[in-house]
Amino acid sequence: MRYYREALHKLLRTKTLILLFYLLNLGSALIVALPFRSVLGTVAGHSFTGGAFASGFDAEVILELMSRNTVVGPVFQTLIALAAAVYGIGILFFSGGVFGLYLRNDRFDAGEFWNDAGRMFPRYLRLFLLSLPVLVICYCIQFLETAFVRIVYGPDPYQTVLYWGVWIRTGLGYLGLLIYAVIFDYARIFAIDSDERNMRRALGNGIRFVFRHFLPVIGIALPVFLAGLLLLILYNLVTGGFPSPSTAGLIVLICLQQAYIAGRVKLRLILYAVQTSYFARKVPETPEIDGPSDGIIDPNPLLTI
Amino acid sequence: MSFRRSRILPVICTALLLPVTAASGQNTIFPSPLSPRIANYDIDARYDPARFTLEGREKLRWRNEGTDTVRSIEMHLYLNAFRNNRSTFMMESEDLPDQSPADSARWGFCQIRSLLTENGEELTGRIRYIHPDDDNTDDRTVIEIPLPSPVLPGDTLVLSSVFTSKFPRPPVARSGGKAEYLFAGQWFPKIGVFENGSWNCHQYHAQSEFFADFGVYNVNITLPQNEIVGATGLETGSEQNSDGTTTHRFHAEDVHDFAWTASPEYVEFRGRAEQVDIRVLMQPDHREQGPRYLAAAATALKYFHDWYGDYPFPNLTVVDPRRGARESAGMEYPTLFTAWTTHGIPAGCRIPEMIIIHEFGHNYWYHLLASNEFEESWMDEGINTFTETQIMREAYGQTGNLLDLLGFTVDDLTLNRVEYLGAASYDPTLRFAWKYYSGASYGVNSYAKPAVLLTTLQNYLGTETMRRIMRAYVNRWKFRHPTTKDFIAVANEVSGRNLNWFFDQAIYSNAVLDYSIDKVTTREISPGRGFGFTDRLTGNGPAADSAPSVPDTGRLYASEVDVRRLGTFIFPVTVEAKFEDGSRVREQWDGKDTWTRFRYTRRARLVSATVDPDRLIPLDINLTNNSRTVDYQTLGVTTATLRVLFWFQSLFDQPEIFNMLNVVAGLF
Repeated sequence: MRYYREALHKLLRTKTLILLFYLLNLGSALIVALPFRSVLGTVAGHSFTGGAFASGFDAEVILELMSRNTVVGPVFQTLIALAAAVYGIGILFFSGGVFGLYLRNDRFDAGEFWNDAGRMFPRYLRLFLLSLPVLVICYCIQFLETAFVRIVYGPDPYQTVLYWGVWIRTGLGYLGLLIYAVIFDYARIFAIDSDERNMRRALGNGIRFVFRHFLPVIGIALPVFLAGLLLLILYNLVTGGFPSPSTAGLIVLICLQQAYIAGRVKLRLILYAVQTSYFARKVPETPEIDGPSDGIIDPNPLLTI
Repeated sequence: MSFRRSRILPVICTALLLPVTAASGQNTIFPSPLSPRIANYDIDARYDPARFTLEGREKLRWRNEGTDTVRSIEMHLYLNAFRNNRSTFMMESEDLPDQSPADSARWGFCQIRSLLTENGEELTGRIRYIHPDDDNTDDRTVIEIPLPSPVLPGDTLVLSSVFTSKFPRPPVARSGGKAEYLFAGQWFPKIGVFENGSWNCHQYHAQSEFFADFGVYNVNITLPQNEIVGATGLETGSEQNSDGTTTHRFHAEDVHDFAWTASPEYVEFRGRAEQVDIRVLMQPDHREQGPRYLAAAATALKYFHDWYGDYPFPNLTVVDPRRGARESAGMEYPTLFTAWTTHGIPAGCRIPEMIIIHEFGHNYWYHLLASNEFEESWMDEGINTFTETQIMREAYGQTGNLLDLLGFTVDDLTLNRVEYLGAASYDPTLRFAWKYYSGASYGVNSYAKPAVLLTTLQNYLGTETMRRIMRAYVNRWKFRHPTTKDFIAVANEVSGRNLNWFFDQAIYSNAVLDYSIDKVTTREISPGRGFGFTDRLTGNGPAADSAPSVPDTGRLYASEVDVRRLGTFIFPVTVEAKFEDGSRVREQWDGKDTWTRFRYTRRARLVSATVDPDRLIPLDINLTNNSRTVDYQTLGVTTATLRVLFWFQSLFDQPEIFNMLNVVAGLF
């Protein structure tokens, strides 16, 4: 809780970050949404089909539009991939600034923020590429279930076994993704904290840090993950009983949606803040490093913890 | 040690010694025959589950019902479709890689070891594989046997054979075994249909089902005592043998095929509806769905009974295929069919119900009517899909009758219509099953399109008229192998209309139906000036002069609605124009020309126009262009855009949500 209290203070001092992350999220989604509006307007803007969207998506209409406009599909697939890439790269870029800011425990300073972001971006990109095998390994944790079922129940288990196995495998999948996410986060924090240029080393330290403090780091990330889930349920509950279509209703819907997204942005920043606080406590002082590391000298402060 | 694992049975020898005793001492089901009973079989079969092999002796009694003398006969050996990867079935299944068994021990076949006439004349040496549908000499699914003496009209041919059938593993195309489970379909030598002076005996194709004459089947199946058996017809008795086996005796009358299943793991459920005994054989990992199966079967029985006539048979067996044996799922046989489900399937996902209603429906269109599925597949699958969508709608609601889950609803007819859109114009509905452009086109024209076109016809004629047509069709043609022409003749007669124009387009052509509102305009007419005119309101239709009163501002609006026929399918349509004052005008258009225009001079602006406003023509391939509004639908388009925006905002922020696809993939 102490870390969360600190994180909230940090968040309040750096509200600009919320705006930045929110705009990035909005901008990325608009890459898909604006062409979608254009296509939908052309196909159904002057028909009752278009009007019917005001009361929600009708499966029949969606299926018919998809089956009749097969050319549009690949275009949107490309747009979605592009938007996802923009968002992912944007988050990676901003994260250098955010971690730097939170490690210094400063108010938002545009110069320092953009400097950190720009300085760390190429390293974080390398780190991401280097971490892909870790992602694969973490995601494969779920196949422990498959192996367990195979060993215990043989190659032809009853569907009852497969059914519950699916849920367990899904849970393990989430655990794997969570582990990867925290490894990547702490590797980035380590890199900026120690100005590490060797991203292989940063990744190694991220892995070591996570496994040495496994329960606390998971314990820090899990509530944020659960809070996100709760927020989603809350959003669905509120919008589930949404009033009949009208301009006023539309405005309320926009507000609810964007409030939800802003909430998720805050959760992400809170997580970053808690992680940097926890990291700073566990690694209180970054040792002096004489020149850039070349692999011979091991400046890794974590090894001395 | 179980029978299956002992591998000590001298199966072949025993089978060869088995006498064909099945015919003796059987009870009768019906006091008088319901069908012509042309092809009658007595079969003794001994099944070895360890080798998925069956040794059988068959006595066929076939009567020449035609006016021509028969000098040779043709028979199906369907299991030879799985004999090698060069059979016509396998060659046509290139897009179905999982059809091909992984190793040679898993292939199937049917081999006649001995064939004798009633007089003891040996015919085995005369057996010749023929390929009536193609030139594939590797296909062994049809044999021709020249007879030593001709069969005159009205005479009966009696042939005795000894055969071995080996089932593919896992099941391929409806038949085969996996582990302790067996579903035995198309498993015995089966005579073709002699009609119009020649044999109708097609090869086993990847995209086709079957055609056979009615008869009486007496089948004895011997297998290990722990096996639970389900089969076509009634079980008239069973006896335990000293070698640890049980012989189950089955008797079926007025059926044209015989299938059976065995597994020691079946969990049995029993029920009764509409005077019919229902037996459900569930897999142990689906046992909780036994009552669900029973309820769906009872629903099917009720609606078919009420709408289309009596199901004349005393019993019905529903088989739940084993996990990993999906190829045997969703298949129909007389008085027995296989369904499909998976453990944990939610109640809102009514795929099991849909399959049970569909497969039960075959007991009318495939079983009682028994059209030639090789040549006119729509007459069974298509009519059946139509009746399935009708019952799903009636039993489970207008919307969401197939899927009603987490706020997402899909109804059965919609799904069929969308499937139809995927391959609407490749082929006419009627074509030999293996001659469609693709498997998808076969599927669309055999299942989805007939459901959609018959729904369109029903909406055109009225539900009651359509039910009378279907009922008359069943009553008149049961046990008589009707053709498309027969169905059309009944429809014309019962409806009292000549519907050939409809069937010519819907069945015999690939024409697509697409009417659209091309343009709607409305403009204020300038105040009248000059000499000799009156401001006269125009606009056809009953509502033209019954508009709700609006303040007479003195303004007049000239509005136009342009309707186009974009497809070649001609169908009469209703066009509705809606005005700002709330009034509506309905017009009828015969739809023959390529376009038409409706003009109105009214005191209110035109708001929108719709062709087929009541959505009575699901055959229309584009419903989006069925309406046009004068004003842009800002609210709808913006709401949809915002929802899409929000989805992507959420997904980008939490891509891990895709991990939930694990659950969907795992369940299905």
